[in-house]
Amino acid sequence: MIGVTPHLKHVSDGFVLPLLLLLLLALTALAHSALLVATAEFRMSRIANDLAAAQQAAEGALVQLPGALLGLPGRVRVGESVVVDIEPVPTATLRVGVSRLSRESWFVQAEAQASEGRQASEAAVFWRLDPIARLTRLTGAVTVPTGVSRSGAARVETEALWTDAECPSMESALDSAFVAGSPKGVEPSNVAGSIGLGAITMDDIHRLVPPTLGRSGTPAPLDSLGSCGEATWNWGGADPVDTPCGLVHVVRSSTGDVDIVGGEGRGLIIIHGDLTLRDGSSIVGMLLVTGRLRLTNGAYFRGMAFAGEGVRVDPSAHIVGSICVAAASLNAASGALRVFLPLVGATRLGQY
Amino acid sequence: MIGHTKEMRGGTLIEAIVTLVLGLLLVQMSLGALARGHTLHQGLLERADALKTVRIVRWVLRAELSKGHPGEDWMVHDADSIVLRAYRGVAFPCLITTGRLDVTYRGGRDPDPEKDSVLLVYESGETDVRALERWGPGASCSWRLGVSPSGWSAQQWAVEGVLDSGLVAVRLFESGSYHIADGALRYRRGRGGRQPLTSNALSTPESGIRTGGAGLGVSIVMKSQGGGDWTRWVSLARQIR
Repeated sequence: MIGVTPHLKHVSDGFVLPLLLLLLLALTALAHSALLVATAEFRMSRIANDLAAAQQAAEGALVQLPGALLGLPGRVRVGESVVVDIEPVPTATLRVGVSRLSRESWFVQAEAQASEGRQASEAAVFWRLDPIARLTRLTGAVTVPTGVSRSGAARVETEALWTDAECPSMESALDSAFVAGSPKGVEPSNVAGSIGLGAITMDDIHRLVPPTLGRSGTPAPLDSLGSCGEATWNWGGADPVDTPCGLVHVVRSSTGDVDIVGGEGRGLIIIHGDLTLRDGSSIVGMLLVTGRLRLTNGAYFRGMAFAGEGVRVDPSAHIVGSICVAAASLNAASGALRVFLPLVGATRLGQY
Repeated sequence: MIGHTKEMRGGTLIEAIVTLVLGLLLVQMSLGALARGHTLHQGLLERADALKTVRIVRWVLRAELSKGHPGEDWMVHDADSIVLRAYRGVAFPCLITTGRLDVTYRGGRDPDPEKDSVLLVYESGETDVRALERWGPGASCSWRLGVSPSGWSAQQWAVEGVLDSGLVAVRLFESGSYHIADGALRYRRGRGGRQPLTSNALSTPESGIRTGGAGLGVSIVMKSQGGGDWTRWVSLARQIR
C-alpha cells in the first residue's frame, strides 16, 4: 500500500483536468465573442428595420399627401407653413409640414418616427395650378413663343379689364395682378413651359381630362331636363344667359388637330396639335394649342390663348382678348386640373 | 516485495500507455472542438460582415438614387459603376438678383464652390445646371420650412449666369460615382480616388450592378474563407428608363 499510494497520486496529478479547463475556457471565450457579435448584429438589424419602417412611412406619406392637401390653398399664404394631419400608419407616427413657396409651389416634408424612436424624413416640392399665376405668364391676348409666325395680329383686340360681371369673385386678385390692364395683341414670350399650363405636361392633361375631341365638330349648348348635358360637343353657350348651359365652362382636350366648324361654346380647350375655328364659330374662354391656331371665315374668339407654333387670323375673323373670361374658364377647370403634382427636378429631396 | 514491485512496474507502463492514448485522444478532441468553434465563430463574423455590407450598399445607394431621376440625375455607367449627381442639400430662394440668390438652405453639409454645382428648378418643371461661384451667410431670408423649422440657415449664393424668373428651388450637388470594385463599394467624387465604404469583403467581379426585368439592383457575392458563396440581391429601383 505504501508503494501504491504515491503512484495513484501521481496519476491524479495528470494534465487532463487543466486541459479540460483550458478547453472550456477557450470555448467559453469563443462563445462569448460569438454572443457579442450576434447581439451586435441583432441590434443593427433592429435599427435598420426601424429606420426602414420610418423611411417607408415618410415616403408613403408623400404619396398619399396630395389628397390631404386639397383644402389647403385657400388657407395658406405664400411664405407660411402649417402642419397637416394625415392618416396614421401602424408602424410609425407621422408629422407633415407644408409650406407655400409661391402661388403654385409647395414644399412638403414628412417626418416619421418608428416605435423604437428612429426618425426618417422625406421632402418634395409639389406644384398646383393657380389661375392668377397662369394668367400673369401670358404676354398678350394671344401668346406665342418667340420667333413663330403671327399673321393677322391687327385683328386681335383687347377689351378693358372689366366689361361684365363674369368674374366678380376674382376681381381683387386680378386687379392686383394686372395693374397695367389686360395684355394686348399677339405677343411673343420666352416663358418656360410649352403650353402655358406650367408644370402640367400633356400626359398629365390627358390623364386628368381624357381627350374626347375628334378631328372636327360643331359645339352647341344642349340643355337636358333642367341641366346642361355632358356630351363631347356640348360646350355650353358663348353668351351668358339664364339657362342651364348659359354659364357653363367646359374643359376639353384632344390628342391631335381639331377643326371647329361653326357652333358656340365656352371653356378651357386644350389641343395637342393645330386648332382651326371656321364658319362663324364663336368660342369664349381659354385656348391652349401646342400647334398652330387659325381663325377663318367669320370665326370669333374671346378670351386668352396660347399658340405653340403661331397664330393666323384671317380678315373675316377676329379675337377679343379678355382676362376676365379666361380667368373664369381656368377657375372652372380647377376641379379637373388643380391637383398637386410632384415637381420634376424636386420630386424627392431626400433626408437632410 | 519483489513480486509486488514487478506488478507495480507492469501496471505503471500499461497505465502510462493508456493515459498517453487517452491524453492524445483528448487533445485531438479538444483541438477539434476548438477548431470547430473557431470555424463557427469565423462564419458568424463573416456573416455579420456580409449583412453589414448589404445594409450599407442598400442604404447608401437607395438614398442617393432616390433623390434623382434615372437618365437625368444618375445612370449606370458599367456593370460596376453608377455615375450620379450626389445631392447634398436644398435651398429655396427668397430674393433673386443678377447672379445672386438669398436663400434658406438645409443640407448634409455646407456648400463648397470647389466641388459643388447647383440644379435650378423652375415652376414650369424645367431645370438648369449652373456652377456655384461663392457662398456666405445671409440675413434677409428668414423662412423656416416644413415640419422641422430648425436646421435651415439663411445664406447668400453667387451662381454663374443670369437667373430667370419662376425659380422655385435650388439643389446643391457634387458629381460623383459609386463603384463596386477591388472587393468593396467605393465612392469617387469628381476625378478623385475611389474611397471604400465597406470592408474589403466583396467578391469582384462576381458582384456588380445589374439591370433587368426586376429593375436595377446590386448583386452581392461575398468572399468566403469557408467555401461556398454567400449571395444577396439588393433592389435599388423598380424601373429605370
